[in-house]
Parts: sequence; structure tokens; C-alpha cells
Amino acid sequence: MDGQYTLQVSPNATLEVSYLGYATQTVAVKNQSSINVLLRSDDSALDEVVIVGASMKKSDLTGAVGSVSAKVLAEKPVTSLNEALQGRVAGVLISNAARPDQEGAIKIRGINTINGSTDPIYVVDGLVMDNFGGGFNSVNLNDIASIEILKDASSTALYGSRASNGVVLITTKKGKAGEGRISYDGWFGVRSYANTPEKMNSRQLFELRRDAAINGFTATHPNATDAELQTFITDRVMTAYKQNAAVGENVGFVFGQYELDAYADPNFKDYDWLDEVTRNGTEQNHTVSFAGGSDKGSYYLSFGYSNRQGMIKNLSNQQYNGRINAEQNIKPWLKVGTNTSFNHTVAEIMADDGVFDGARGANPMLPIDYDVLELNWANKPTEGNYFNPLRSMSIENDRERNRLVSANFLNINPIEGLNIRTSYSLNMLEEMRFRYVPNDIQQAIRYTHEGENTHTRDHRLNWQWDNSITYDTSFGDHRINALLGTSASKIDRNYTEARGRGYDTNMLSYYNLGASYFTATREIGSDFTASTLLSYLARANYNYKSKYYLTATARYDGSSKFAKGNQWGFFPSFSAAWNIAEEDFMKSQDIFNQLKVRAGFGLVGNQAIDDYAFMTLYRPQVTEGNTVYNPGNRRGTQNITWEAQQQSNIGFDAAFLNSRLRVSADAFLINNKNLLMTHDINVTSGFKEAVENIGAIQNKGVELTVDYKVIDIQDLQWNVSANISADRNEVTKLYGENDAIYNIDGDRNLQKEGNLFIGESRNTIYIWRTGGIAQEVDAGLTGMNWNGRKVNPGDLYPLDVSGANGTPDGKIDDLDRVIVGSPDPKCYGGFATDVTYKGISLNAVFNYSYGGKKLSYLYESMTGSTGTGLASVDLLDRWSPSNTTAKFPRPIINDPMGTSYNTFSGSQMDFSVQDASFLRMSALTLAYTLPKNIVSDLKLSNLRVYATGSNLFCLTPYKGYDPETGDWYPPTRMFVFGVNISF
Amino acid sequence: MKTKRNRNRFIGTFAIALVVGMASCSDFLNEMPKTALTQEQISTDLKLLEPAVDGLYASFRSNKAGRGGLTFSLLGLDESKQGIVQMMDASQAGFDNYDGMLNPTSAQIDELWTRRLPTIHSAALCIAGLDALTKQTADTETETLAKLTDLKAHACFVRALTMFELTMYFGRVPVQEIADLNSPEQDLSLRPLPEVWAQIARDFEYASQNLPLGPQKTDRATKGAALAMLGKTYMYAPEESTYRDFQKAADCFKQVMDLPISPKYNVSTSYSLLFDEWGGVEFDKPESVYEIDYKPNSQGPNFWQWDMGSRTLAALGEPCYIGGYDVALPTEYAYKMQADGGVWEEGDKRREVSIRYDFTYNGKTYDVVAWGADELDPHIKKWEDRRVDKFSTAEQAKEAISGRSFYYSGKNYMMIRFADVLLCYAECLNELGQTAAAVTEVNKVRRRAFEDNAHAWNSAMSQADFRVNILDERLRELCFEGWRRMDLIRTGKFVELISERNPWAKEKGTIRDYHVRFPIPNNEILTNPQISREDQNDGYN
Repeated sequence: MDGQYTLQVSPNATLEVSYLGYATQTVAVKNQSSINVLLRSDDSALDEVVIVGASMKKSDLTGAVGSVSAKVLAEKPVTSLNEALQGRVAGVLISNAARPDQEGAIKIRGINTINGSTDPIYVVDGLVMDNFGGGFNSVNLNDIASIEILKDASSTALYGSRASNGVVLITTKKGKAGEGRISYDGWFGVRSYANTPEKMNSRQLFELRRDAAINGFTATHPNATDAELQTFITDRVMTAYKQNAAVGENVGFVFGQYELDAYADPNFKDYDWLDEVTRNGTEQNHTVSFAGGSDKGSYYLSFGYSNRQGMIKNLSNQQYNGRINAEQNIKPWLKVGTNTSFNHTVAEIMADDGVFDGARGANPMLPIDYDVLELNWANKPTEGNYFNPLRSMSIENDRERNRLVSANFLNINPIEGLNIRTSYSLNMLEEMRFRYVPNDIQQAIRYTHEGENTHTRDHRLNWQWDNSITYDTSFGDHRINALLGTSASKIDRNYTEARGRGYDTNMLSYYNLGASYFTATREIGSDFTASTLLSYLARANYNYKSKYYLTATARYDGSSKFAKGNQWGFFPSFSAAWNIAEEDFMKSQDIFNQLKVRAGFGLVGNQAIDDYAFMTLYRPQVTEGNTVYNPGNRRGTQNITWEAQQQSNIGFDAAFLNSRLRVSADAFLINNKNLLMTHDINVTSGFKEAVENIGAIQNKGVELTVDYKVIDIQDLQWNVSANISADRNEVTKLYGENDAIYNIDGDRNLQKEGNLFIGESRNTIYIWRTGGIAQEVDAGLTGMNWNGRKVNPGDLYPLDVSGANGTPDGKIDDLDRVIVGSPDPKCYGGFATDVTYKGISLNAVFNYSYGGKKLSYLYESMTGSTGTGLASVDLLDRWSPSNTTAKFPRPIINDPMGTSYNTFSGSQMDFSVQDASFLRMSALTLAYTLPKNIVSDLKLSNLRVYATGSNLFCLTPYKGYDPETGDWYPPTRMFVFGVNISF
Repeated sequence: MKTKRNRNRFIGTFAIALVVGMASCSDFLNEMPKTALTQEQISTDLKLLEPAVDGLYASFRSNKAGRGGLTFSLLGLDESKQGIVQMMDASQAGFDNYDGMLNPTSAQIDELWTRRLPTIHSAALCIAGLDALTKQTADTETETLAKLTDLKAHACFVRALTMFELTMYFGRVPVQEIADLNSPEQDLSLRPLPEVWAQIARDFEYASQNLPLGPQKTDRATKGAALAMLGKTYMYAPEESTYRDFQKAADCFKQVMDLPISPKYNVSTSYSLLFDEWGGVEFDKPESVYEIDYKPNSQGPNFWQWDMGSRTLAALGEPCYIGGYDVALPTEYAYKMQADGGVWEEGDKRREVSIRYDFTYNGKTYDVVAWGADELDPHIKKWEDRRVDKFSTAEQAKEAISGRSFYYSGKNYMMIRFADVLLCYAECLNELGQTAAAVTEVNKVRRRAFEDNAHAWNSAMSQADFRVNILDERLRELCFEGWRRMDLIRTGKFVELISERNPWAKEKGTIRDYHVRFPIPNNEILTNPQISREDQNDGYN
């Protein structure tokens, strides 16, 4: 078709030109003899989203919805979805992953559940996905057309059963009618560590340890003479320790000979063990896609490859993606389509954290050595667990994942406005993990396995079958859209594990499992689990003159995670919107270009608990041919049922100044009831934990998004957008008469975090308050009962806050613990700015968080150091009789030939609590889009090149690695160069 | 027209398929576990209840293993204490210091508590299930009824055995009786001692009437074990419980001595063979009244050597059977000769079997410590296991299937030895005024210990002297076998002897009467709505 046409119409006729994927244009003929119509690609083609079982218009999602377009996603080259969303949408808090092989965490509208996960559900082309086995993060970001984040009940209602943490709706790309299009998107990046807390060098460490040993002596010998102290220093401190001393030989306990030598050498250079196990990580990502279509159908095909080399030497991840999205009108009334992708991932994953932790904490006076089995400080004998991290690197731990995700539909349109649709989707994962621990490293000796080989095969199939009938009609100014549907889904999982021990050679790695010679201790294991959900849903939308909108939704869900009789939950929701700008009385004003107010109320459910939690389970235990049954640690709770949330939301969207300034604001109140929680119970019950519906949390907050086109002229555009969110949650009820639920770890210690108290935030830090460092003059402290600890000048002590009757009782115990803060921020969000001049654009994305408190276990250990481990330079300001105003207490090392002096440590009190506020520049991108004329000469339709720096800086008072990711691994910084081409 | 007909046919078929598809889902939501059995299945099926009762023995076995099992119960005594490097853990040091660190938040004390309670609850569930099945079984099904009675006797035995230890350590504890499996609500408050001991006595009595005669050949206990424990119940129960009765206790012990099993219980086995892992400590000693079967491998080790060996030797690597980490060590009183202020007499063969004085290994004598000052002081020898040593032959180490490491030490544990029964019996006779008869019983034990009659006690010994001497004799015979703490508690000698003989407690000087009981763990108080802070054992509030 060359585009020529001839039409005979009357001069006052109006032509309507339409084409699939393009905006319909109406042109008045007005006596023109030649009318050229240039159709614009229709952005509202993206207006269609597929919800569970039906497709609907985005504009019908009345309620609090945040959107991210493909264009915005392109601004930040990353490989995972959560990273891409960071700082983009109000009310969405995304934290980067703590470990290099993990994915980021996401929270929508704060915390609405009491159980561990605050993950929303992800709906990819209608298929509900979780992140099991890297689920939704396996979606190739280049395939995404748009992301909607549904935040309130009226928008999430259709997903009622699992939507209490919000819904992330992902729509992948489609082809458009017209000439086919080929695109290539690729980038290459280099990642390095951004910043790490400053650590002591070997000289400082030596002096710290020396002081600690001397302090240990003076603390246990308060009446020692100077001569006795000198003898101690000479004989016990400055004389090297050795393991096989002769009888009567004088040995110390503080330093090894190599450490004394290092200290004596003014030219000594520290050994950097961490450098041996880390590198700059390179990452690359390539996607080629082909899209096209006709008036009967469309297709989108893509192939992707990404390769990420971890910053720890033996980590890597390679991913291969393929996707086909196609739909076709088979008959005028029958349409079929599929969105199918395949993913193949091969990764070397973290064997354990020993490699990084071990190298980070290694003694800088100890020469780098790949052959030695264990590291040491002072040559001190270990308990066999101080594995040489360089040898631990030889542990192989490989993982392969193959995932098929296929969403298929068939839609019948028998009469105008009526659609009957069925869709069958599946999400299948096959995962294999192979791990080999060589026979010549300390682990093989410590665990006497002489080489250990583990194979795990994991299979998970999740299918979902949805059916719906929708009817859309208008009469006069009324428009009605109604939906009736059902949804059934099932998750089946099984795994098989096999382990062999005792391998003659490491040359066969993990390949030959059967070559193990400890045949009696070979292990096999398997498990099979399944869970199902069945739902009925109904929804009606009504609007009058596009001014008044009403939506009602009802959903009835059944879950296999509950016992019969408690399986079903009913979740209705309502919402209304008033588009004030459409009113006649608004026609005469020019302040508002748009003004819409919204309100919604609804109930959503949650059943995110382990399978079979309502039953007490007995597993067979087999030893030497005998089978016995013992119950597990969890007590089954027969009467658990759905957790329910009442959500209320009000909000408005407004535009001013010719729509250059757009403002959206929302306020919400969420009452979470019958919260499902796995919590510790009294062991007198026979069990350690149970899942129960135990209480209520109230969560309220506000969100504000502002978008301002500061400059919008021909060659220069400057756009600024910002969002801020603040939410507060409060535990309002716990089960029975309890006003607190405590978190006890496997070693039976009450934890500082994870306890719940009525009237407090869900996340708290529950700890002693710091009294300070005792001084010579603190006579008032001498009468205190420190419950077995010692407090003398230079030692840190906690405050006596309370006794059994609520007043200080002169004794330090668990009654003195108080809540000192919450890790939840007071407010958080992001802002971005774009400047475009002709083809050049500069884009900066920031995110921030204010008011959260966190514990930094890294900084705690670095400042609690006695010089026999990593230490912070801040410890240079430590207490001594000549520095009594020091920030840190005197360090103490106890002599294994003497008695012990036990002090309180900073990590036991709020001394160690950190302010986790921050401002981060998460990405800065400079891009150049080549002018159209050059691009055409190159026979291209688009060519863009860009460079991005991510995490360029982070301003924070937090002393650990990173206020967001915590202390597992240091934060990273990446520089990326990329190109987008299409023709 | 044809198209339309096709269309309608298609839509019709489609609609029918949908309706049929959705309607066939009635059981769709009922997912049952596939790799585990449910409480309901276990409690209602005799075939499954039997292995669940065996599971009680397996729990008891693992409860006794490791630190939270035997090891911690040896700390802070007059016969044993912890090593100097272990004392650097301030919380654990509380066991010996008897200072403020021995408090309700101690994770170590919580561990002693937390291990034992699930066993009690599981036993109560098994008993409730067995009772329910018994009710449903017709009187004519004698075989089934006999089986039910036998299993209940085992469940009662394990419950009482666990309760016995628990109440000796903690005093008042919950008494678990499940009347109805369908209403799991129970009284989990701390019950007065008469109630606690009533259940223990009832359980042991039922067990002694219904357990098989023996001798013991598997994990399952026999009549002798239940009788011995019933005797100990009447002997160890505190006065406050109203269950202490030396006559009843003596009767029980006498019954054990007279049980018509073949061979009859006796102390003919030489003392050194009792703890000889190659001498076959596998249910075949006439000494063994109740024995727990540990393995020198991952299938069921007791881990005790890990906590009782020497760190200096541990530095040689894990396949060294003398190595370990000095958690529990003998006190000077427990390893020295009487002449040097200790407990041992010349010629006692038990001394060298119980205590390691010599640290010669593979031809080299270790006489300089690697780290802590006391690593080459005398150590506990009874639980050393040469099967995990690298110099053992393949045949000697054939059970070390998980690799050779002192971590996997797993010598069988004769929890109730006939020598203990004799000594208990003698003590009861003495309390009943029959001191001469009591001395006769003790001499049976001493004859084996010295391999002569020359060391026999004089039958003219006074009742008061006997009381003093028997405590030492029990130490010499039974040291590090787990009875000492309870012996000190029941005789009221806890504070006196520990403050004298335990070096750490002596140095601190803070041990008080209330320390005979451990505190109820804070975690229990925080999580159990039926126990409040005011219920805490005296002295710990």
C-alpha cells in the first residue's frame, strides 16, 4: 500500500481514520481535495492491561495507582525489576539487595503484615507471580512496556486474596501494525565497591590489642604494683605466644612472633586479604527485538542475554531470555494470543559468606597464603572453624534455572460489548544446584566429610486458569462495565536432594556423585508440597459523562492453606471518583487543567503462610534401620484463617499551568486484622512456634507526587519530579491478654529486633539504654547489681530504667530494656530531574529516607574489637586514664591463665543504634539521541547512546556499609555505557 | 450463516467446558501433606503410635546429648566445673560462679528447659492416643490390649524420666495430662511439687507393672528400669512433695535386685570394661538397668568428648580421641587422692577409668598447654571414644562411618547402673536405721572397685558417718554420669559441698540456698500466659 486513497464524500463530512495501535483521527473535510493524515502511535494502546482473567482499561483502575513507563525504565540500566523501580513511585520503598546473589526488597505503603514478607504480588500479563526462584525478576526489563503499581484496595481488589502488600502489574510489549521494527538495546558496565568504613591498620591494631591485654590485667589486679604490671607486659604481652612451647618456657598470649616482627618493622606493609577475593565486576546486557503487526494481529519477539560477573571472584550469573508475544483475530469474534517467555540462567552462587567475611576480617599482619588451612590471630589455636577464605573459594556452587512462563488467552466477542475470555497460564521452574566442597580444605577436615557433593533438583509448577465474562455498554451519558469471573490456581513443588561424602579426587568436581566412599552416610531427601486457590469475582464500573465514577468489586477466595471450614474469605471493595474538571462550572476557570478526587474503601486478604501450617506434622526419622515419628517444632493451629485488611484511601489528581504542573496526593488508613504470624510460643506447649491469627496493626500514611515541566520550549525541556511518602504503623492488638510477643532465636536468646509491643511500631529496637562510660567519680554506680558483669572506670554500662514495679531497682536485667527506635523511616521517596537540549539529555535520579534507626552489626563488631579482628579507626578514641572523655570504652582481653573480667558491650545497648537516614544519587544518565536526519541517513529510525553512573554518592550518618542494604556486603557503584538502536 | 452456526456451536461448547471445569473442583482446596503424617493420623492408628512411642526414646536420647544434655548439668558441682577458657563466656560462667549471670535470661538454662519439654508433651499425646484406642478396643482383643498397655508403659516411663530431671533442676513445672485429643487446651502453669511428683510416681508405677521383664536389648526400657526409677522417686523427691519414703524406695530397689531375669543384675563386670567401647557396651552387661544407645557417628552421637576433652590435644586435629574443649572438667576434689584433699583412696581401680591424668598421645607426652591454663589438668575420661581416633584400626573404627572426629563421640550411656541401685538401696537402709545391712550392699560395689575385700567398710560404721561416706562413694562410683547434682540437692549438701570444692564458686562466694534450683527461663515467662514473673523460683526475682 502506498498510502494513496480516493474517497467521495460531502464537503462537510468528517473522516475518521483508524488503525490498530494508532490513535484514531478525525478530520473535517471542509472542501479539501487532498487530505494527508499522519497517524500517531497511540499511547492509549498501552492503556489496556490484563488483569486476572480479563483485560481492561487502565483508566478504569480508579484508585491509587503509580505508573512507570518503558521510557522511564530505560533511564536506569539495571537487570532486576525492583532496582528499576527504586525511587520512582510514591509509597513504594525499595531497598537494594544485601547480598550480591539476592534481589532487592520492596514495600508498598509501609508494613501491613506481621509475617516476614512485605513483598507485593507481581502480575505479569495476567499471571500472578511471586519471586520464588527469581520469579518476576526473570522478566527481561527490555520487554516491559509499562508497570503499574496498585496501592489501595479499590485498585487491588481484583487480586483480593493476595494483594494486601499491593500489586505490581507488568505489561510486556506488543507489536504494532505497520512496518516491522527491529530494536537493539545493550549496555556494558563495571561495578566496584562504593565505600567501606575505615579500618585500623596493623600498627593501630597491634596497639589496640596490647592495650586490651594490659587493661585485662589491671582490671583483674587492681592492686598490682608498677613492677608487677611491667613484668606482665614483658612476659605475657610482648613475648610471643607459641603452640608447642617447652616446659618452663615463657610464652605470652597476646601476639604471635610474626605480629611482633611486623610491629617492629617500620616499613611493614599490611596484607590485603580482601583484595585477593574481590574484583571489579563487569556486567553486560543485550536485547534484540522484532515487532510488527497487521490489522488482524501483532507479534513481538525478543532475545536477550545478560552476563554479570560478581565482585567476589567466584560469583557470576548468565541469563538467556526469549519471548514471543502474539495475538491474532482468527475470526471477527474470536481472538487468541500468547505471551510466552523462556529463561535459562546459569550462575555461580555464593557457597557461604565465609569467603568475604573471612577475607574482610583477616589479620593484616598475616602473610597472604593460599595453602594454609586456617587463618589466625596471635597464632592462637582455633576451634577448627577459622577457614582460610582463599581456600574456601574453591568450593563450587553452581545453579541452573530454566523457566517457562506462558500466558495464553482466547477471547470471544459474540456481540458488541460482550467478551468471554478464558486464559490458561503457567509458570514452570526447573532448578538444579550442584555444590562440591573439596577434600583438601579445612571444611572437609572440620566436618570430617573428606569432600562433600550435594545435588538438588527443584521443580515448581504454578498454573492459573481464569475465566471471565465482561460486558461494556453505554446508554446516553451512562457507561457500564461489568465483569464476572473465576480463577483457579495451583502451585506444585517437589525437590530431590542427594549428598555424598568422601571423595578421592577433586578433579571430578561435583560431576560424579556416586564416587563417594563414605557409603553409609550418603543422604537422600525429597519433599512434595502443593497449595491451591479458588476464587470467584464480580466487578462493576459505572460512569456518568466521564464525571462521576463508581466501582464495586467483590471477591470470594478459598485457600488450601487453611482447614476446612476456615478456607473461604469474602473481600468486597468500593471506590468513587469525581472528575471536577469536567463540570460546567469549571469550564470558565483556567487554574485547573485537571482536577479529580478519588475515594475508596475495601477489604483484601492475605494467606502468605507456609503450607500445612494448620496441622501438627510428624516426620519419620530413621536411624540405623529404625523409624520413629516425632512432631516438628511447629504446633498446627486448626482454626487459622485469612488475614484481612480494611483499606481506606482518599486522593486527588490535579494539573495546573497548562498541565505543566501535575500534583497527585493520597492519604490512606489501613486496619490489618487477624494477622497471620509465625511466632514463638512457650515450649511447655511442646512446641517452639505456631502460626496464628494474632492481632491487629494500624497503618496510615500520605503520599505526594509532583511533576513539573519547568521549561518546555522547542529545543529545551526541563522536567522535575518528586515524590514523598510517610507512613506510620502501630500494633493495636495481640492475641489473648498479651501486650507483647517476643522474638527468641535458636540459641534461646531474646532478640533486639522482631519483638512486638502493643502501641508500638511493628519494627522496633528493644535494648538497654546506655548509661555511659564509668569514671573514677561515678561513686553512685558502686551499689548497682550488674547481674554478674563488671563496671569500673573505663567500662560501658546500661541504665537502670525499671524494676518489677516500674521504678529503678538497682539491678540490670531484662526489665531495663526499652524501645529506642524503629528501623522504619519517618519519610522516604525520590526525585528526578531531566534536562533535554536538542538530542542531549541529562537525567538524575535520587532517593532518600529519613528517620529510620538501624543496628549495624559490622560497626558494632568493628568498635567492639579488641585488636583480634577487624577494628574501626574510631576506636583510636578509646578510654584510658589519660583520655577519660573518650567515645569508646576501654578494650579488655582476658588472660587464659588468669580469671576473666566480663564487661557490658556496646552492642547490648542503644550506644550502637545508628541513624539510617540517607540521600542517595541512585543514577545519573547522560544520553544523546541522534537527530532524525542523521538517523535516516543511517537507515535507522532511532539511535540513542548513553552513559550512566549508579550510586554515585550516598550522604548518611550511618556507620556501617549502607543504611539501606545493611552490613552483609559493601554497597556498589556502577558505570554503564549503553546504546538503543531501532530500524 | 454457516459462520454464525459454527460460532454458536463453538461458544456453546466453550461455555459447557467452563462450567464442567469449574464444577469439578469440590476437593480442589483440600491439600494434605505428602511427606509427613498429621497428629490426627498418628494418634488414631496403633501402627503409627508405636513408632511415635519409639520417637520418645529417640527424643530422650538426643535431649541428653551435647551441652544442653549432660554437659551443662555437670557444671557448677563439687565433682565437676568448667574450664578456664569456657569461663570467658560470661553467661555460661554463671553455672560455676553462681553470680548474677545465673539468671532467667541465661540461654544455657533455657536450653536445659527447652530440650526437655517437647518430650513431655509428645509423651502426653501418645498416652492420650493410647487411652482413646484402648477405650475403642473390645475386651476380647487381648493381643491388641496388651500391645496398648505395653506402649503406654513406655510412654509413661519416658515422660516420668524427663519430668524427674526437670523438676529436680527447676522445682515446680507444668504437669501435662491430655484428657481429650480434640481439645488441646491444657493447664501449663507451674504446679506444686506434690502434684508434680504424684504424676512421676504414677507413671513409674504403671511402667514398673507393665514393662517387659528384660534384660534390655533395644532402646526400650524394661521393668527393672522403671522399678529403679520408682525407687529413686521415693528417695530423691523433696520432703515438700510428700513423696519421700525410704521404705518404699528400698522395697523398689530390692525388687530390682530380685527380678527373675537371666542373668540377674549384678556387678560382676570389671569396672574398666563398663566404659570400654570395644568391650561391647551394647546392652549385654548384667550391670545395665537402663542404657541409652549412642553411636560414634552422625546417626546418634552424644558429643560429650567435644566438651570434655583437652583443647591442647584438640589442636592436633579432630581425629584425636582425647581432644575437646574443656567445658566440663573434674574438680580437684574429684581427681586428687584423699591424702591431697581429694576423694580417692589408694588401690581404687575406678580412678584411672574415670579420670585422665596422662596426656600421652601417639608416643608424645603433652605437658605445656596450648591456651588455657587447665587444659592438661586431669580430665573426664569416661566418655572418651577411641573408635573415632585416627590411630584405631579399620576394624576398631568400623562404626565411625561419618569420619573420625571427637565431635562424634558416642559411647553408650548406662544411665541406670546396678551399682547405683545397690548404693541407693544401701542409703535407704541406712536411713531406715539398718546401717550394717547398708554397709554390706556398699561393699559389693567396693569389692569390684578395689578387686579385693581389704577395702570393705566396717559394718560398725555409724549412721551419720555412713551419710558422709556414701556421698563420696557415689562420687567415686558414679562421677560424671549425671546423678551428682541431684544427689547434692536431695541430701541438702548442695551449697556446703560446692562452695567448698568448686574453685569458681569458692572464689566468688555468692552461692546461696536458692541456687539448688535453676530459674524458670525468662522466655517461658514471656510466652506462657499461665506463668507470671511472680511465679519465678525464689531468689531469681
